[in-house]
Amino acid sequence: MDYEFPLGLAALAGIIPLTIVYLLKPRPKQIILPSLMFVQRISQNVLASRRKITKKITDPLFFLQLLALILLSIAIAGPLLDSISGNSEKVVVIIDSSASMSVPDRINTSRSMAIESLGEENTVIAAESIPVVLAKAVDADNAKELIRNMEARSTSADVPKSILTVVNDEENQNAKIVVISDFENWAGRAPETYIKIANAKNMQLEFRQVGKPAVNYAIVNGYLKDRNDGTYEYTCTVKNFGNESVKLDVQLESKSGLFSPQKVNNSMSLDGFGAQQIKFFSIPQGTSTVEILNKDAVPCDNIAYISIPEITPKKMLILTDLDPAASKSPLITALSLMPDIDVDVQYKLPDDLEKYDVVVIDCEYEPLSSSTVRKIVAYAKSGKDLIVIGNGCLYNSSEMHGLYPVLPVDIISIKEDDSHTIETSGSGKHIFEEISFDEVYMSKYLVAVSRENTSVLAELEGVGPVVCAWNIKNGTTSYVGLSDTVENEAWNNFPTIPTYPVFWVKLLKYMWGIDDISETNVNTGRYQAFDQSTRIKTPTETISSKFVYYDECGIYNLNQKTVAANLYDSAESNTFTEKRLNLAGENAEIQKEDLQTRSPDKLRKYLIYALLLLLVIENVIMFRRKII
Amino acid sequence: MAGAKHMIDTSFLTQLDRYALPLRNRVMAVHSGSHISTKKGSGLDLVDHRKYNPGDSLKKIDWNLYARTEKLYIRRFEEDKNLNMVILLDASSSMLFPDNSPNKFEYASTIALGVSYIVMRYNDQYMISTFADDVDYTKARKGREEFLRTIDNLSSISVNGKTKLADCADSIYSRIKSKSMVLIISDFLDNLDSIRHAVHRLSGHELVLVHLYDETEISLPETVDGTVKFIDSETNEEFNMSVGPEFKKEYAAEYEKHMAELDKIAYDFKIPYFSININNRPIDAVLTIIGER
Repeated sequence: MDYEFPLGLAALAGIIPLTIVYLLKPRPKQIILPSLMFVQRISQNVLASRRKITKKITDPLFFLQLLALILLSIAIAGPLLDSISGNSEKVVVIIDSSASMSVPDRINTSRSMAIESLGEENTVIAAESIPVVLAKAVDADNAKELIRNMEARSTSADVPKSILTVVNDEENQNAKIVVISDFENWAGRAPETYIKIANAKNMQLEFRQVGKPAVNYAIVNGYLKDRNDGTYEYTCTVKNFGNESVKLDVQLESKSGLFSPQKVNNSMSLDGFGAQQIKFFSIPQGTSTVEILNKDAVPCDNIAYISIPEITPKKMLILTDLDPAASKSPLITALSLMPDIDVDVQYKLPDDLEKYDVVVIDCEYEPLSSSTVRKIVAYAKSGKDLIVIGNGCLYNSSEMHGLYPVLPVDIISIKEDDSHTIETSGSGKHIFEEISFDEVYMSKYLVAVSRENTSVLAELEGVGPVVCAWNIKNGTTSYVGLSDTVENEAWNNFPTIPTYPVFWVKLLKYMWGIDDISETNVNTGRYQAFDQSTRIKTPTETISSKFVYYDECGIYNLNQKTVAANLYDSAESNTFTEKRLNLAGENAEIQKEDLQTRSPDKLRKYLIYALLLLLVIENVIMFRRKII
Repeated sequence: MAGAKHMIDTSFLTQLDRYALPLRNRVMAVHSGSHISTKKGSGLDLVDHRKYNPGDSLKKIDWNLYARTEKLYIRRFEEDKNLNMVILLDASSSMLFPDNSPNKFEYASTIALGVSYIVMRYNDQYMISTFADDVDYTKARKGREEFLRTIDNLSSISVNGKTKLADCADSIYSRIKSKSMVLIISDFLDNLDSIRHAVHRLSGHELVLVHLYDETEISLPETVDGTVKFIDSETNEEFNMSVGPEFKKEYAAEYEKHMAELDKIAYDFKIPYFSININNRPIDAVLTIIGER
């Protein structure tokens, strides 16, 4: 018999001193009795063998204590007994469906192993970045069919999480859990821990390893950097997960509805287990791929998909009191620099206002006429985008007050004070992450209060919002309380800081619903839910669902958005590792043995009950003898 | 216990003044006394005559009858004889139980003296002999002075050895010349065959068995529990036993069985048998024995 803690049996050594104590100690009470003849007569009725023992030790307390000691030592040692029958009726098969399992021999072997393990009632779980329950409590035939159709996905796998999910499910009590994986990417505790957890919950856990080392090349750690000129810089690392040098051909291909396709080819030599970082500048809007053309074990990590949102050219009207011919305000300069925007700076409102996608009002001294204000308000209310700059004119001029109904803030007053700093808030923290608001000094500003249902993106500490937006129909009206007045009458130094143009790029992208690049370039294994059922075009099929689980590398089209999903997981791509969980050889036998002889706790429980009973009996005896 | 002074209660003796010892059978004794004898001899009441045989005392010839009949006849009278009381007192080690006073020997001595006192008051003879492995004979005594000496002897007597009733009966049988009243006071913790033999041997006399016991001998106290080393008070033999309620029941049953056997022996020989708890008052025991209770 095996024990959880064999050293616990050392407590049995206590039998020796116990016996010696009882043998040496003159424990029997001496009673001088004239009628010993009757005692002798009684003793003749006792079996001869028992008489022999009792001549040495006769006290039942000794036998009770001896038994208690034996039970105690066995309880400490914890005998591992089969608490689950050999052929479990309930079987939960967890199959690693990560990218590394797409090495041809691995998934086939796992399918065979899984089918071999099936019992009467089977649950099949694909261990991806989240556990995906493919079937619950199905018979062996259904489970077989399901397993035969299983494919490796392009995600990383969290096998420990899947195990814990199964173990924590009360319905799986007394089940046999079979985990089949290549154990390339194990981000959990030692497997023995999970065996113990499973055993504690009366389940049997068995690990089965598949796969041999296979050479693989992969694109890992890819990321995009906004160049703020409408293009992005793409950086990634190409790695050789093999022990031999290799020459790899890498190709960049860009496709866009706005530009003609581009193709760039590159070659690189990598040593065994070598890696090289590559950069592609000016990745245009649209989708692009970076591909290793060499064949290898895992195909999904050979292509990096890039999705840069395509921004259609927009027409912008800037209504200002400055003579456009005379000088350009920092605002006009910043907005004019933006790609894909046609900026029209006007002193008076043009007749064909509807052709503009966005209107910016930047009047410092001269207010707009009342009729212009009415038209602008009507324009905003029609669902067009409007940006109003918080200059003095906005507060001082009664005509300009006509804009207030469409503004996301109520203007209260003008204040001169230099003790306030700008802080981003809400989603502004993310949008204006790169903007150096800490360098901005405000000397004069409009005191404003945000209205209901507005998004305050930045605020003047202790005063009120300075960047605030709200939606009117399909359009967005933004209030920017950062005057761009320069020189002696400047209200602040914001227009002079280098990130001022970036602020406007970020704000306009926010207003136009252009997501951050990280939203359109995701890693596989991500789960995203929607408020309503959405039509989703995955790399292989088109579905309607309230959620999307990115389990394939490629381009996803959803919500008029194009999302690129990539593996980018060097642990998953490394199919040549020798440092997998060591479940082979001698350890495998130990594992197997461990798996068959489990819980010490069941027997231990009964041993402790018996021990307590003995203690009670012993106490009763001692009480009767008036020892206690 | 040898050499130790035994505590013998004599305070109750005067209460026995108004009691006499009745005898079922006619006594046969060489001393004359107030009890009716089975013998004819030198008493005052004429019983009958018989023919003179040569060698008969001339004093006994009835000369008046010779004058009338011219034949020699001898006069025979009813002879008055004294009671001869033999008390056999068990002085084996087992009689020293229990440890506290009075133990069985002290109690036995007390009631032996009580009986002897009654005998002494009627100027009868009594003899108290102790026995264990062997019999310690004393000569037959008579009178108040002798009685005091008897008390002194009993209080200093050595109590030890093993009860061997059969051997003792064989030994004393030849010593009792006339038919006597024999009182055996003992705990009778001896082989039943030995007891039966002794009773058989002495059954020619007016035999009375007085069995003494202490309550704790029958019902072992509660403190006697667990592993107990029993030591025989007579042989010093040791015996380890695990004592529990079951054992105590068995033990008590064995003891009672022994007492029942004693009773049966007495019944078989048609002799009185008294089983007396030493916690009873000695006077009550004495009165029970002499048939007043």
